[in-house]
Amino acid sequence: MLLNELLILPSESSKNSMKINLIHNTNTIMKKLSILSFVFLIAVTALMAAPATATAQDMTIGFVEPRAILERMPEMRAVQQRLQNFAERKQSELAEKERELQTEIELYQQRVSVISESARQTEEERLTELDMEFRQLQSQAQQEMQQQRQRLMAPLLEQIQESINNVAARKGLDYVLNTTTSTGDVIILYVSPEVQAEYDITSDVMDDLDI
Amino acid sequence: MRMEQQIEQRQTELFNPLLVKVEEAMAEVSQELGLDFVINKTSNTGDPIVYYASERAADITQRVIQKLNEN
Repeated sequence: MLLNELLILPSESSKNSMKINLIHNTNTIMKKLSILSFVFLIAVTALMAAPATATAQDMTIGFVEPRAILERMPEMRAVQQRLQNFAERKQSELAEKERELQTEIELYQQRVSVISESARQTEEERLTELDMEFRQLQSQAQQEMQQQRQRLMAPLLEQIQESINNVAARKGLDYVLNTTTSTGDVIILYVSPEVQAEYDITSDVMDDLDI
Repeated sequence: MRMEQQIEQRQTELFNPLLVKVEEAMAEVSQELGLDFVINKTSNTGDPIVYYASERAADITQRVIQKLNEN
């Protein structure tokens, strides 16, 4: 994923206000960025002016680690339990189907030497079809699992988003960035301790959520 | 498996010219507005990258679309 290469956070920052410094030339970033997908874009306005004169333009950037918040949410345990139940149910359904398929294959193997060529062909076609059906069920189960996860997580993510909005507005932040995606892709690779202390709003969001 | 790879390859072939156009439009808009950089708001998997943007933070999506329609 090219996203990994796209990191545009300040390498330097004053203690009071965080300024964005360009660490790559814009075109390279744009290039990498545009390959990703049709995207929603957020622009950061010019911040190249000297720090002393840039105050009005300074953009403050906060960041948040949503996974840490999710783990702390009490609703999360119920969600995980429900997901696990769902997965187990799907798994046993699939195991049942797989056993059926296996039995059919064994029957075929026992009979293959004593049946006619055309019967063998018919039988093989039938087994191929059964195998395809099974694979389809497998990928369908995977999709359902994903949908279920999204459905159950949506209300929690909404709550988090709301709290992020509250905290950001209260702190006067211009942006709040995600540090890590749910797939584990790192968005923010490095933050200095000073910036971390002031602009990591993860615990503020937890406070806002009363967790 | 091989078929999936072929699909992926074909997808890349078809998408690339479009992405180049988007890239050009983004570059033009950024130059016009004097932007230093543009951040992707959402990842491919749908995860938010930007969770929050204040009112003074510009969202240039519409401008890029407009530019694409003009080009």
